[in-house]
Amino acid sequence: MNEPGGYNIKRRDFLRLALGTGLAVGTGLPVPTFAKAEETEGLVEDSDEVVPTFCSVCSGGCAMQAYVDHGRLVHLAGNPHDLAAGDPFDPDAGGRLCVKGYTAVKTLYDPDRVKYPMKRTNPNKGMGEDPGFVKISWEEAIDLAAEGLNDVIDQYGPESFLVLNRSHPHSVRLGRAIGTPNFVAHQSTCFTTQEAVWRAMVTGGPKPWTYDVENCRYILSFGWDGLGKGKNMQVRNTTRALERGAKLVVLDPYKSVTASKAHEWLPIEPGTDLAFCLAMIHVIMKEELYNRDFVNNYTQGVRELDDFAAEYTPEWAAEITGIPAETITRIAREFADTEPAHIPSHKRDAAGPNYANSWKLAQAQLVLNALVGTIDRPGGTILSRNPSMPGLDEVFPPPEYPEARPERIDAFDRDNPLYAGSIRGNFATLAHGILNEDPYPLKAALVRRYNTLSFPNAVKMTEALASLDFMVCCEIYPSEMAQLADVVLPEPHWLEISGLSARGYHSMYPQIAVRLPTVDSLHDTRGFGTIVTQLAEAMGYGEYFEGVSGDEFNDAQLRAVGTSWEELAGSPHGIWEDKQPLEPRTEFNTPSGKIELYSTVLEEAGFDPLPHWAPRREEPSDEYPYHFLIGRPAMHKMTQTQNNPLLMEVYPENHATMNVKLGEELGIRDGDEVYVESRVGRIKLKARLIEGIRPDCVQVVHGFGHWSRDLSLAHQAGANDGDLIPDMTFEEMAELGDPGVGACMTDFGVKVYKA
Amino acid sequence: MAIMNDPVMLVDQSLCVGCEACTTACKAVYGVSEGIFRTKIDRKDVGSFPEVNISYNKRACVHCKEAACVMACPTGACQKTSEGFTVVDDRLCITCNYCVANCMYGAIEYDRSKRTIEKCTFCLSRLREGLQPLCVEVCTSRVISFGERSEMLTRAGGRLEELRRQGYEDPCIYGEEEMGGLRVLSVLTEGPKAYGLPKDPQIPLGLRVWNAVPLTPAVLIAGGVVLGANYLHTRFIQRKKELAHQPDGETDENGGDAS
Amino acid sequence: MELSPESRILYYTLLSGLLADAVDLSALSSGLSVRRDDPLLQSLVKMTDEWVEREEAETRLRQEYANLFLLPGGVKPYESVYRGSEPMLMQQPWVDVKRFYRRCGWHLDESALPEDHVSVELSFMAHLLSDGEHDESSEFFHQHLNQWIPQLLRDIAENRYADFYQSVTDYGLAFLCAETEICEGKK
Repeated sequence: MNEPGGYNIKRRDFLRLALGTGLAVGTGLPVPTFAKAEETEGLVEDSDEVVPTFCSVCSGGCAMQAYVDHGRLVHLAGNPHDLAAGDPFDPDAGGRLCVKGYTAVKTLYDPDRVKYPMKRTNPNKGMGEDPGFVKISWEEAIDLAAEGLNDVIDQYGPESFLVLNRSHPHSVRLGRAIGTPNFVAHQSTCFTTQEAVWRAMVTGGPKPWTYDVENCRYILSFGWDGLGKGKNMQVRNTTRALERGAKLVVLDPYKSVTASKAHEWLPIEPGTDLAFCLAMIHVIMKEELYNRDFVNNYTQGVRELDDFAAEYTPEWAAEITGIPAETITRIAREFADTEPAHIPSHKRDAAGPNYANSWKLAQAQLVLNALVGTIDRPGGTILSRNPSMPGLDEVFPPPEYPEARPERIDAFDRDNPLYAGSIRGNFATLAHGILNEDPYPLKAALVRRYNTLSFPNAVKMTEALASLDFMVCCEIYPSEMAQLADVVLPEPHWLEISGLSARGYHSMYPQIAVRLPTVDSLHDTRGFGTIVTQLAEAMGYGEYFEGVSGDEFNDAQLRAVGTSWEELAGSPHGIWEDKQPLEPRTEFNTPSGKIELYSTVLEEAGFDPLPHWAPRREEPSDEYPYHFLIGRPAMHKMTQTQNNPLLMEVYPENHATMNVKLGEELGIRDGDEVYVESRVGRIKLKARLIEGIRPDCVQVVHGFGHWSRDLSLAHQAGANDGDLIPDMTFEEMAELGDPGVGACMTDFGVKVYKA
Repeated sequence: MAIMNDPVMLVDQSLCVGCEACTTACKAVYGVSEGIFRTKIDRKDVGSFPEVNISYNKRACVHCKEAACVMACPTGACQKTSEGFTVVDDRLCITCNYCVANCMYGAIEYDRSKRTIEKCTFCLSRLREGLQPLCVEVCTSRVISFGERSEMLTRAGGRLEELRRQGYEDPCIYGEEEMGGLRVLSVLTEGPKAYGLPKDPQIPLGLRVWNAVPLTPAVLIAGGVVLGANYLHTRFIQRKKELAHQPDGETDENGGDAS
Repeated sequence: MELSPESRILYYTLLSGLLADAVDLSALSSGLSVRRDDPLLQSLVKMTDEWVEREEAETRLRQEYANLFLLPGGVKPYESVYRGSEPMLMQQPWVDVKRFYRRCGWHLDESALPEDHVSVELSFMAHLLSDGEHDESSEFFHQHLNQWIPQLLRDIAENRYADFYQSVTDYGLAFLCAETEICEGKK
């Protein structure tokens, strides 16, 4: 808190003096003080300014123009020069954002935000336990956190410490300095099935995120909802494609927004998309419809593919998918004959980590896209053209790290030779490891922003995290995760900070956007980089952060591409770019240098090089007769937006969505309270009956079911889909033989009944 | 700054994805109370599995040339500006809600907490500064356009052609002739019925009569006329309900469910 | 009630400090010892006496402060929340209050609190009074302070977490009542 300027009155003395002698203001109590306004200071701040920033609601990172009036953020608009938010090919079109981006102003000024560091005074942890938070100073907070973490590390060893966040160079460095192997992030619930396959067959690295859908003439979607999830550039591109007359065919058990715009909607049996794709490959190979030029020059393994596909006839697939063989054949032919055709696949669609066979679906999709020649070609998925920028270790080489033991608390090391040394981790097995102390006790964690609600079997994960001896949570809102922490450290909102971002979601040429603080920090916050540095120093790992400066890092990254922080921050549009025409790649980062339809990399790692048919892990049973689907609407970003009053006004809660007929069968009417139950949990929410969903499915939208009493709007709205999703033991995970170590988010059955 | 001649907004409802960017941006900028909307998304589900048609439709005041709300307003608060937009002057509004009741499109709402009428103003103040309406500027899918009527009609025509080519049998433009012509045109993939829009809406005769009689606030105060007004009003509601109701009694599934 | 200018400065400063952070009970107790008979401070004195004897008083007080003022289950002590068009921080009232400070030639020192936080506004009153700016202080009282702080105090009193702070609200409401006579009387 404030220290008085120029007054030397001690705290205790003040009141006696003031009360006794009637002297005027001293400040023994932490009373706010004032300073003379400079002559040159205007009556108020700049009345009107536009500050460049970029959005952090999702990974799209759309560059924004922040309209600030008298120091108050009043409006956010898309930057027209940004590849993600604007349209550099049509400058008059203007910049746009998505509904979450526009309403982000409300999240900045949310009165529920964490305002100071806090420590818990109630030693008991769990859902519904009041942590008894009290405010502490930053000094005390850092010391307390350091002490708490060190105590655990001293007692149980470095591996007992977990870094649980979306990977950040500072926390990676701290973790490695300590010598823990445990870095866990969420991607195994999100896209690792797709990433593993792209890595093996095309890129030798990450999955590409750019889909040139606007130039595609035949868009084939397997649960991909580019229009409904509300990703800015995907909405723009898909809409444009439709305006230009592209044909859109959607396979999805639920009539998503994208499906509602499709020329054909095929409500395929959940978890059988792989069979459909295999039959498509069969038709295209048999009838020799593939793009010879592309296949012959840029792929390898087409002969093996030919043999492989022979058994996967459309008739065979019709049995499994419920879609007539003639339809499958026709679509295969249309797909191959229309140029360009593509199967866009982003995250969490059918090829995302939803089923045990999802990685194979990702592989089959990649094969199909290669057969029609739309990998890194117009109309297809474009490999990232992001500029190459140095990492933290390159700019600030660290001292040698101690060796960490290889066994991880989530068994990620065991299940995934493809990901050796990666920092992705496994959300589905983490609870198993912690609760069983397998292979050792894990007792402390540094968590940043992840929420308990996003884990499979969220209730069990909450139990696991509550069992930790010490948790430090860096957060902006008093989320469920924060309720389990010993120390909560408030970070600034992304609208209050500086930074830079290469354009990830629509990277057609190198482009970097800058962000500058749109307003002064509202609360007593510190950035994550600063927090980790100070924590490291207090814990005794200061040498790893000596000289490490966030500002210098930003500058070094930019100098590597030929600009500087000063230049970028001062640029008229807040954008640096190197506009170059898209030169199609002719070589790929695989052992053969080609797109490997027969994946030698997968083979080498002990996985099937071709996507032989395999069913999903679990079929609906007598006890749990319905398929479970997860929805993600445009108005919400996972569990992060349910305290935003504007978004909650248009989308206040989630439902158990099912077909009218299923409702009739079960005696459930629209609006009735129902239970949806799986083999691991049960949730209660209102039923919503529609026609646009298979009668054997139940869909629940993700993001609701907040139990933190400190989120005023989010609290108790709807229910958490994550409570239904089974987590896994290490053995269960290993059995799946999935190179993506996917969390099988919907690979189980549910039952529904009136509450 | 003078607004262009005959300004019109074109909403391609066939491509609206119902994301509510326009809904929320409008609320934020105009400080609209909770639960009240100047523009909103209306989701229409028609048919039964698997032949289901789902459409998302932006619904707001369409600034009818012949506006029922203007005719219904007893005080002249609900009026046409010189440019042809329908606005409500709070100073004259007696919150009788006749405009709300008589709107063919359900586009007017009453905010109890502020005791004001809330409806789309076509962002007149922005237009006068040479800007576009806010919803046009924010629409993520870029399916709302703004310009001179003939330009918008040409664009709409192009969309119809493309939709026909894609196999839609009955796409149409809504708003060319309805209510004397609307300032908000819509491209629909099929007839208005599927969208819950009134086909060939007509101003009820009773309302025309009401409008023709020179009622002033002074007259309203007279008790007998108030009674008469209420009687007429009840009849108007009746007529309006009859006209708005679908001819074959079809109602929508989850009508108005925007999620 | 007649209050000397020095007393008014003291009372504003005291109220500001009590609402700025969890109270140091022993310091408060010792300070109040010289004014035990002050009619405005009775409730505070009694509560402080009681609490000084309590076990773990300091922790409880800090918990109460956090629950009342920092966490969403309590009150939101910002003029923006009370008088803005919606219950958010940094609304138009914040801009207006900043303007008022500037017009008087001051700005808020480096602080984790925004200009329209209750502690800041109360401290500003003390500041104006100690500078002898009586007209401006009455204006600030009328235009800002008195428009929302009495309601805030009532909200605190009714909040389920309020325990020690009942005495603070008793004191605050009584004082502001007296202030209303003084400030509004001048108009």
